[in-house]
Amino acid sequence: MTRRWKVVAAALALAASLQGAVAQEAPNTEVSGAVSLWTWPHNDRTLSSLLPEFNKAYPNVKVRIQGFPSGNNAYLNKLLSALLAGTGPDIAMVEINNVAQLSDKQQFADLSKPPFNAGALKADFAPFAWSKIEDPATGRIFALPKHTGPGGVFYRRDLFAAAGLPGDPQALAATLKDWDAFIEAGKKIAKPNERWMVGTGNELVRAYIAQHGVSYFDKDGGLQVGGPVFRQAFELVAKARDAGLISPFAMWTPEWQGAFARGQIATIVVGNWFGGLLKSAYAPGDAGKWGVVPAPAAENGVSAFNWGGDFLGVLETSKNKDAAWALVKWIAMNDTSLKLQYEKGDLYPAYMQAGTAPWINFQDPYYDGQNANEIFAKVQAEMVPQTTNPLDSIASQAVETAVNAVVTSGKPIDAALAQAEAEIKAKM
Amino acid sequence: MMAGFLASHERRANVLVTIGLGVFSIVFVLPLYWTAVMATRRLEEVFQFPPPVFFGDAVFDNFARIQAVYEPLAPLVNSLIVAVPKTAGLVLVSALAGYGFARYRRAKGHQLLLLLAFATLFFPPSLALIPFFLEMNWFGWLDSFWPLIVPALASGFGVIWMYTYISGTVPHELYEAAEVDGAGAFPVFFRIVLPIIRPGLAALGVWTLISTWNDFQLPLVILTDQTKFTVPLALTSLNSIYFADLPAVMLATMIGLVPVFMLFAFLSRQFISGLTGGAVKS
Repeated sequence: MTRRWKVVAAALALAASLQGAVAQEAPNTEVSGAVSLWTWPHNDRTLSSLLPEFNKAYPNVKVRIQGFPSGNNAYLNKLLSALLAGTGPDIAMVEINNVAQLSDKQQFADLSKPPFNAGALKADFAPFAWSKIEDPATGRIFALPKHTGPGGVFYRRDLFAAAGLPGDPQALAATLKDWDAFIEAGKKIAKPNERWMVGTGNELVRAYIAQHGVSYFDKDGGLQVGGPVFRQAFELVAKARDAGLISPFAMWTPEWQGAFARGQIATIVVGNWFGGLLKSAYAPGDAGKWGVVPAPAAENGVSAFNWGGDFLGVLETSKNKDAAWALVKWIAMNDTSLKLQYEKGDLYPAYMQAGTAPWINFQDPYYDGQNANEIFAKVQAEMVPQTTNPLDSIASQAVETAVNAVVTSGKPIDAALAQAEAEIKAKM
Repeated sequence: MMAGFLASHERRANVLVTIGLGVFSIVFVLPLYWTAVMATRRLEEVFQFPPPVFFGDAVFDNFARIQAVYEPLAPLVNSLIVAVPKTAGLVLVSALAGYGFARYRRAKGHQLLLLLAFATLFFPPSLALIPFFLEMNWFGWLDSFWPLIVPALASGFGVIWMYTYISGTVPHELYEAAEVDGAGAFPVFFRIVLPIIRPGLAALGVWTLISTWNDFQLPLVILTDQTKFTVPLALTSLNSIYFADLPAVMLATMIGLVPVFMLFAFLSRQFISGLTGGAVKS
């Protein structure tokens, strides 16, 4: 009796869930037309690979994904000139570093208005990401958040264990509780001309200032470089340099990329998406050797920081806003879309509900069975938005140059900061 | 004995010069060689230290990765469609204008027009990019090859170059003699001037071809359809924001160089005589 009841119940539940699934995936044939989306490589390939799934949901929408080079602001310049001439795409993807240059451009449709009414979606997205796209004064929403870059520390389990430090992430997180502890641990790992604790000084500065909620400029446009937080960040770099913890390689150079596979860099302090690069490009053969811990906390106790992220905006010139909006929402919110993007490049969804999905919470063999999302989900919830400014890219370059001078030629902190300040002010 | 000494001395000097030039040319050829080596290597091999110096066996894998992103030969065709008509047109227009300036020196506005052509050399092209873009949009030429070819035909540099070259190589008496014979301006240009200035045309042509082949900014702003991308744009499509697929990029670079090499081999005799042409002027 009870057994039969169970079978019936199970059958009913199965039928209900199937019906639910069918109802959810019933294709929308009302929205139709052609839409174009501009982005940069590899996103063009990643998004193109999603289109068969999108067309199951919207069979009458024809999508064209176009990718343009991202280096040296090439994509930004292409988009800006198209905005001026009114020849842009229906949808433009915006990288987090370009938000300040684009968010006030009226060529982006205000998504808070009909037919978008994006204001109703606010609670569905990470507050950190939402703060970047909504103007608190006017309520204008210029884009929908796609991905964020919750930050942490990727580390080599085997190198830590060999140095007598914990290889297990839980134990190591306690060891690397703050930046002083990070430097002490680094002294056991680093070997002159052979192995370093971190690749660059700049990643320490980026994480440290973000933990303090400070950026290159404050809300009123006042330059923060040279202020107390930047000075402390540079002092941290100088300490790491004196202990021989920082490699001589510059970020993104071939030497630096190769150092990961050679086991010469023990940790990297960076956004979660770096895991995707480790797995696919920098160290595909080192599965099981890597692990993830939260970043060491700053003096204020904050460990969380963000590095990276992107957004999708609909242009005012779009002749097919309904189809464009359907695509934007599908890319940024649909479970299949977010799952495929996570599988392709560890892209962390800004859409909150995805944080509990099974495809993001699993024992990742690359991290020796660790569920990295236990760390990144917490960071996503805690990270503090930094102020953005149109001059951010100039400022970040000047600061990176200054950090590298401190690391490689032992330049005094005061002189390095003063030079960075002067460089930025000359362009203000 | 003296002659023998001189000969051996000269021979020794020749050997030294040859060795010196050989070492010097290695400096120039080495990056190209290393590009070719990397194009045949696996990604992880490129990142090794010390880097590999001999060819590897991954050239087909690398080619497949280019193929996954774009049709490997399409950017070559696009670049040729842009570069060949632009080069031919620019050289012809510049030579005609230069001929006019060199021959009709007493024409009204001669100085002013020449000055205008000269002034364009001092105008930074990046300043004109946005107005140029808006103008091309007004023409309805965006996302086509026209903006990359037609406006470039009026080249201030080309006009000044050909004016200087023609003034230096074609003696004015030639025009006077032709006038006496009753030949018109165009027949004189095509039958008499053009054959004399061929080396100058070739030099301008090679310069135009190479700078067009390498141009990045203008095609990026004008072209949107990826199937129309020229070689430099296609190359950057192989990289992502945080990662460079070096072997694929190097292989694509080598493929992109092939037409330039072929054209240069075809034109090199003209080019070299263009460089030395003025040296033996009577």
